[in-house]
Amino acid sequence: MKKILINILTFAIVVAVIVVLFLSLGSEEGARYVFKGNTEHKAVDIKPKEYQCSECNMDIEKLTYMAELITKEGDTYFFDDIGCLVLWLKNHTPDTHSMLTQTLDTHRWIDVKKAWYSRTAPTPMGYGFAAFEKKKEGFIPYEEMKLLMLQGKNLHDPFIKKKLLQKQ
Amino acid sequence: MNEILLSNEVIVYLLAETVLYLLLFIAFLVTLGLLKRWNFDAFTSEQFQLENRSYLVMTIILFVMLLKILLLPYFVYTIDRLSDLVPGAMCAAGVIKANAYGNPLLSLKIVILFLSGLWLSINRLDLGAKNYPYMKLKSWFFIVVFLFLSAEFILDILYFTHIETTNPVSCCSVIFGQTGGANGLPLGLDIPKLLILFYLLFALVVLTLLSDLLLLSLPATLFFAVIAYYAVVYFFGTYIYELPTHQCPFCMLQDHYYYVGYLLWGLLLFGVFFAIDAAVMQKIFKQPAETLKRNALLLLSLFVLLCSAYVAGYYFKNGVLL
Amino acid sequence: MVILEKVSKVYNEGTTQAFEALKEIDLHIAGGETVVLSGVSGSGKSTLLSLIAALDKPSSGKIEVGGELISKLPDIHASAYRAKRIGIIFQHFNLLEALNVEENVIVPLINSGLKTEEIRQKAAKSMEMAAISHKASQQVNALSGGEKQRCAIARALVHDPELILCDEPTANLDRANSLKFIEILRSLHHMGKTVVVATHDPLFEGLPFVDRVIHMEDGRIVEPAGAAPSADLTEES
Repeated sequence: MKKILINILTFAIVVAVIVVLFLSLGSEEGARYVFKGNTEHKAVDIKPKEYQCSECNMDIEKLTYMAELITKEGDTYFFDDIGCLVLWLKNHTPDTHSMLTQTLDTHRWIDVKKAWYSRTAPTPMGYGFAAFEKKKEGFIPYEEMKLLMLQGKNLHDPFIKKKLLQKQ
Repeated sequence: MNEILLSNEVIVYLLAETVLYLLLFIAFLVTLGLLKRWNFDAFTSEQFQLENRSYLVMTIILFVMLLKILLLPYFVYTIDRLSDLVPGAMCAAGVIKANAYGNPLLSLKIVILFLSGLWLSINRLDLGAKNYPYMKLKSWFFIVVFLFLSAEFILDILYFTHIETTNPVSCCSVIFGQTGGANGLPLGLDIPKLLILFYLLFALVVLTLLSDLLLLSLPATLFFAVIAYYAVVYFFGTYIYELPTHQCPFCMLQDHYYYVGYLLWGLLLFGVFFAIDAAVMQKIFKQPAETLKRNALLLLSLFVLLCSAYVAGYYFKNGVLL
Repeated sequence: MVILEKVSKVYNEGTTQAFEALKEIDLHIAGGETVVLSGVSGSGKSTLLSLIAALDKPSSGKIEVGGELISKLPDIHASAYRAKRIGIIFQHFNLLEALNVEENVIVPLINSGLKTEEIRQKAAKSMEMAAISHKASQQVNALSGGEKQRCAIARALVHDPELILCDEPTANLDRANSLKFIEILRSLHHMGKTVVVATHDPLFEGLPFVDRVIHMEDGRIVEPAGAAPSADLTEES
């Protein structure tokens, strides 16, 4: 009798574990990374938490810092921080049509290569690079931002952070 | 790099590793000879010499593997101490990430811990019989473990000689914390589901060990080990540190947390090992494994109790959860 | 009971000081036999006994005692074999001087798992057989040579072994005590024990209860030793 009870309980727990796993994995599937069918290659406006960043998996909440990569096929990838886009491109070589970023000053979608980047903004991932349409003192172009990002010279680096914030 | 190699802990550690590796290398060479010529049914002078030699070499291997098990916490202690020398590192987490060799080295050490434990179990079984029934099996197994040990030795040297004291490393809040970015939990889990899985899997491990469903206990234990790691880092650890954003498996090894990390991770690792050993001994070697099961149950129960005690303690002290 | 097949023992094997103590010994001893191994010092008698007792391993060859292969026993099993199946009486007694007679006698039963009362009973029976009961509480270092030997006999018999090995048991005894020892051997023979005595004491020649005398010289048996005892071989006069 005791053995039967233990076996039943064991079976019940195995089922419960599987259920929990399915719920988790299901919820991950529910979170979305890619918007398909963007054949017009325009920036896609999304709601907060509707999509997740393709690099760091975080929900995209602060839409003002987000960036998008649109492939020639119309797949649109979302990034909560321009730094995430740079890191993602290190390991992925998509057939890119365009890369767009929101700007903090004009709140428009512009090409990432045309934007200017501050180094000390409170971005979602804490890298510090935020896109502006109009150049101001201390802002850097995309290529320089990309290099600094890949070298790890962003606000995650305590020396860099101290140096930049002291300047301010 | 010089400050690293000249630090007392690193000198002691590398010296110990070198001596042990040399002993194992000798044992490896002798074992190769044993494997080639071993024939227990022969009564020749050569076979008697092999048997005498095997007793010696197995004693060496036994001694070295026991010491290597002790060296693992010392390795962790060493890299924790190095956090004073490496800029940006507040604990072993940063030091481990100081170069690309750190994480593979630590993972390899844990794998070796389990393999060594299994070898010790098989050796005990073999010496308990009158005719060395597992001599060839344990010799081959030792050859395999020796390959891992060789990789570990090389990685040890590469790791310690490539820790830069000029380049800053990330601290654990960046590596493990929310500010670092990703939801660190696997399989899309959130904290509530993680905890449900943690306790469910613990119950499953207990039940499968008690009811002799050892084939099920093996995957359950391994899965529990993985979930337990994440549960400690992302939930229970925050109650040890009493800070919801402090998520780190290494800081709890330090003195300001009363070195509780050694106890916690030790209970988990050894509990998991005994559960795996029980399954292997009973299913593969058809040996009774009551003591091993009892040890596994005791250690894993203490582990879960300790984790839960921190949460309960915080709640009773403060009236709220983090 | 005891089977030796092509047993050799070489000390310092592989060195320039290698010494062949036993050379391809073949020997069969049946259960209940009393066998004397005779020969001068250095003939290999003690080496042979130590191999049968699993105190040492041969360099080659097979040794079986009571159906169990003992020439390759791992240490822990060799200890268990000695503790359960054989009793050894040494030339120099090898008693624990700091203990008394009874305490020495119960040493082999320490790990036996028996209760204290059972151990005491066995020790009492064994001491009676060896005629040393009257000295049970006497410190061993205060005993005479003959008394020490009888204490050693009691210790060797306490766990009721099937095989008793005696290595030069009378070498340190006077004639009177040697004869007393031989009497004890006779009673062991009548109890059906298998007894092997290694000795060069001439007192053991011609004993009626000795089934066989095996002469050893220079590590070899110089008289036939493999057959069961025949009428011709049981007595040497």
